[in-house]
Amino acid sequence: MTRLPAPQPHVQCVAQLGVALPFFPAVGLLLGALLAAGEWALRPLLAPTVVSALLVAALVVLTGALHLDGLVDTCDALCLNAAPTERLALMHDSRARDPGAIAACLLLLGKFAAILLLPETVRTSALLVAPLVGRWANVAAYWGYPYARRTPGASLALKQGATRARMLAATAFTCGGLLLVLGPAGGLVLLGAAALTHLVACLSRQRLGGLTGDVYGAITELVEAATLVLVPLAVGAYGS
Amino acid sequence: MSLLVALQFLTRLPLPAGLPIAGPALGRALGWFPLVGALLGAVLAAADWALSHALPRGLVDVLLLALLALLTGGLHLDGFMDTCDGLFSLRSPEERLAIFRDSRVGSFGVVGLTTLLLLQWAALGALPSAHRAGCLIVALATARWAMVYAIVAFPYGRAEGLGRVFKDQAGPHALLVATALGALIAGGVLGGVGLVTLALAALIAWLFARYCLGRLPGLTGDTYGALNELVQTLLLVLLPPLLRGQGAG
Repeated sequence: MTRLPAPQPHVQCVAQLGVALPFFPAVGLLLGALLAAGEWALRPLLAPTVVSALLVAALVVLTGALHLDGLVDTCDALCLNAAPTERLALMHDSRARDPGAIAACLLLLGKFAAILLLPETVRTSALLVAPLVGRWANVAAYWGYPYARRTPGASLALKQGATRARMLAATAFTCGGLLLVLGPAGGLVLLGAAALTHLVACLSRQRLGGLTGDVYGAITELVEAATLVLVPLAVGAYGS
Repeated sequence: MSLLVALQFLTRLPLPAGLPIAGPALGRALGWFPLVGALLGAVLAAADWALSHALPRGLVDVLLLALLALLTGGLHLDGFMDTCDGLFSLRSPEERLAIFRDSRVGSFGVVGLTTLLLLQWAALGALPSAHRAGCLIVALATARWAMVYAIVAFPYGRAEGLGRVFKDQAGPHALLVATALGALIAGGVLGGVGLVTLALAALIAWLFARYCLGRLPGLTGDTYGALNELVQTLLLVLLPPLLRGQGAG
């Protein structure tokens, strides 16, 4: 899920990718910790606008734009006026179309504005939990909604490995993290994340017949960005 | 009836029936373009008002841009990107027209889109809070008027196409109706400044059309959309100083 240097697992493990699912939120928390640490280190040196832009860039680089690419392909496919099978085929096209470009631009701008406008009191906690909740949504989407393709690949392996036990483990970890960082307000954040996940998943089922790896990525990106706004909203920090 | 056609073409609002985009109703629909723009502006202004209670300005502005893209189905942004890809490529006019047809985005399109959205976001943030609703309504209405002006006043570049069906039905009458409606909306909402924006939009449209005609055999639907985005953005940028000038004078 990241481009952090890690020992390469054996290629034959693709089928067993599912065992990694419970640890997705932990990867998110690690990303969040990197963001929060970066913000803490850079804040005394650089202007807030610059720090915000750097953090947005850091998230793109750390994930190799994996989920952002999913968002672009998902928007292109959902907006295509054609049969679901043609939409699915379009997702394999690596080049971007207009809807995807617009969505990516607005999402990056939205993340920049959301980070820049984070109130002082929740800045660290929001940065810490946003990637965490984003990856939880990813696991939840794997577990809760049907997969649209039959072709073998990493996403199908993950879908088949998305058991209830693994979903529960991921959710327990996420709830623990949220409770620790935000207290009871974390519940509202998770509720908002679940609602957004459900919305995108329903749209995707209606227009594609199910979810694909790209849609899981799109959900991660959208929920991550939304969490940056949901955290201040949940604790009422925007008020002043 | 023709207002519904204009609404169906320019927005993704859920409308009762799928009206055919053809025939003289299209020419009459052109006259309604400024009103559709004003309606879109009013929807944005309402969302702006509602969201501002919960979220800070910079975030509300991103959501407004996203809402506008959803409401219009990205129609004009699409045109803007294709126009950037076509106009800035070093090709013959015919090859440029072919680039317009390519549904994928080129590098000029991405650069143009990023720059445009960033500028729109910054401009929204700089709108004076007392006139935010008025600025949104006038900028969107006037931008749609500029399309009508371009469709009626300048030659079309293709034998067929989405823009062609409008061009064929467009006459001086449509421009007259649209201008009267545009002046009524802009003047009614922002007074003298509103009328100045209409004149500015005409100037921008004229300059842009001249520029396009130097590089293309004629205008197309994509360039109409690009013009809409261009006018809308520049008006959002120019409205605050114009309003300040009025306040001082």
